[in-house]
Amino acid sequence: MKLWHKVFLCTFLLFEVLFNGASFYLIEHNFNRNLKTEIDLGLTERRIIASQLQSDWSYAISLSNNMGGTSEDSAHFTRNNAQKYTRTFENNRIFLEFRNSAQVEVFNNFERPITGYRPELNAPSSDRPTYILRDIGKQTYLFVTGKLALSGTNYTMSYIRDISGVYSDKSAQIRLFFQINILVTFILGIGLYGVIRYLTRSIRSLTESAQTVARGLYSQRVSVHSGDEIGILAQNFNRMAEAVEEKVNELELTAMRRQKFIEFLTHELRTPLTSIIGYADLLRTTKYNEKVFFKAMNYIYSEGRRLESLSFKLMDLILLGNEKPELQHQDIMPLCLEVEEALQPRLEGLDLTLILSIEPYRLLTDKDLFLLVCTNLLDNAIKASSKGGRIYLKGYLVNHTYYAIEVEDEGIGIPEQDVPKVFEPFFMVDKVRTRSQHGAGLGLAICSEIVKLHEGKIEITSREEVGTQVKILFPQN
Amino acid sequence: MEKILIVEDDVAISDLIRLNLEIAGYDTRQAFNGSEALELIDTYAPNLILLDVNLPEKDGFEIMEELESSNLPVILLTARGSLADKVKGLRMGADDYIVKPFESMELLARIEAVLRRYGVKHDHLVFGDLEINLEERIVRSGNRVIDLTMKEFELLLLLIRNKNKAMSRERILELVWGYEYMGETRTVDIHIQKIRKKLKLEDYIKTVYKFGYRLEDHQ
Repeated sequence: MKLWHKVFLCTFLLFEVLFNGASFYLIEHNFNRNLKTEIDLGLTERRIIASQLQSDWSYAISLSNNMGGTSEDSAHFTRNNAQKYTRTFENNRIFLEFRNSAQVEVFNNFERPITGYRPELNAPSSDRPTYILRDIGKQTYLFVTGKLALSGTNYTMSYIRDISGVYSDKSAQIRLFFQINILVTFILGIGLYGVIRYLTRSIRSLTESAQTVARGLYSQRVSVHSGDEIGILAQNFNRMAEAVEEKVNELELTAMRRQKFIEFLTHELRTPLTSIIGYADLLRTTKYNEKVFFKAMNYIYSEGRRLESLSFKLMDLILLGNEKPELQHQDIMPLCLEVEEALQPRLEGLDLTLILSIEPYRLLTDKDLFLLVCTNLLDNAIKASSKGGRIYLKGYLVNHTYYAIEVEDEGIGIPEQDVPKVFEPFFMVDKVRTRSQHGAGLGLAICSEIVKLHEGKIEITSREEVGTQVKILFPQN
Repeated sequence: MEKILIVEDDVAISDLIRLNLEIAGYDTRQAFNGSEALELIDTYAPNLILLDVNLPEKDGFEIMEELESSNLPVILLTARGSLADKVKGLRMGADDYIVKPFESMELLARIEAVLRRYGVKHDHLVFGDLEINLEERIVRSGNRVIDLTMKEFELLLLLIRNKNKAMSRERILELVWGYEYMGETRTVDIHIQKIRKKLKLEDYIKTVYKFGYRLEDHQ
């Protein structure tokens, strides 16, 4: 069941119960008051009629005594005069009945025959008149019965009043109430529907958005601008969707990069393997030919070296990704000298000059990582240089916020459009040249990983045929 | 001699292919990048191109686009096993593709198949004074027709197509008899003896010690 259904039904039912209850209470209350008024009226009128009859009777007796006439019969008197008393009041609604002490009817102008048991006649034992309500036919009557003494003769006087009006008023009110109720219910239903739909529209749009996001369209946002709880929920939902979108994009990017890395790696592994297997197979299956033999052997050796270098670089990269090294303050001067010494044979072989200018400094770094960075950068510089070239390794403070390590060569440089790509794994500016020097295209990717671990920066500037300068900025704590 | 252009930027692999093709008796040229390849297509006019997808300057697909109208057979060499590359290559009109690392025997078989499809390679092979008609499946020595069983014929064909290269007994079994005969290399020895006798190839089919056989043409 939807929320708006629930709100609608609850409100509707609650209203109906309260409205009906209150209305019936009012009608009932009104009816009781009217009934009481009628009863009071009946009691009063009976008293008035009784006292009128008594005073008239005493007047008639004294008159006949004075006139010296025959004494009056009280029953006769009653029979003759009773009718006129009723006229004093609303005569079509009021009736009188007189009975003598022997319960013989003396006078009765009641419009209907009264049959059956008459409980009202049993009631008056005292002088106080009592009343009773009786339904006769479709009408309801008030019977007020009391004793009436006329010159010693006792009569039972019943005052009968038609009070159907009170009941018909009540049923008329109930009818009216039902008509009003139907109308009110109808209007209430429409009104409630409109109001609730209006108030819950933001929940609906929130639901739609949530479904859209769940389907994978993470850019979906809710446009709810109200300041109520739903508005706040919508804002939070948007914030959540944003976070999810960011995370998903990040994951997709990582997955894509990984995919690309694996593709490149496969290529880099397969190419030397194709050569090694191919040449080995060639030697194995063909007749010995000295020229072919040496060529094949050379290729097998150099491609094997290429695989070896690739595996070392991959190890470096994997180790970098695995653990965050503990950085310590290191004197960088001896480290730089160590690098120089390690590279010396290669430098001499290619007739290259390495020029060091290092400002002594204690740098927060990891010894092995620092050596790895320097070796990789210098390795690139050596590969880019031609015979007789110079390579510079500099270390200096920048603004007391960074310590810079800079490697500069006078080599072939990097074409402008390739500069942004050099940090991508397996990117090679000159594939043939890199491969002929057993390069894997991972050096700068490794450097940039190491720089990331130091929270430093790496900058590269290069001009073709002029040279390349790579600068790494290590932040000073 | 059929002319084959090898377009491959990795020198080692390019040389490897060249050596294998030359042994099989093809004439070859090598191109190491896209523009070199296009130049050689004009000047050298090859019968078939072996084209690497990953190339500097112009990649293999770009070269294929320029070749579209020329009706030159192309076999793609691809290191990526990626399906998308293969499909793209074949859609663009490549006749076949081969994934690195590949065996030279497979490469030669594919080249031959493509050349035959293009009608460049004729339906008969010649070895010494033997002439083999592939369509009629008849072997002639001079004017004399030599009767061979089906397996003998297949075996001879395999040896001629891979002449000057040693074939292991297992490989021969696999290629001529199919996998179900794996392990019974005696069958190969018996058939080799029969061919040697029937075709007088005793001096040409050499036994490679502990390995298999090689057909040499004494060039």
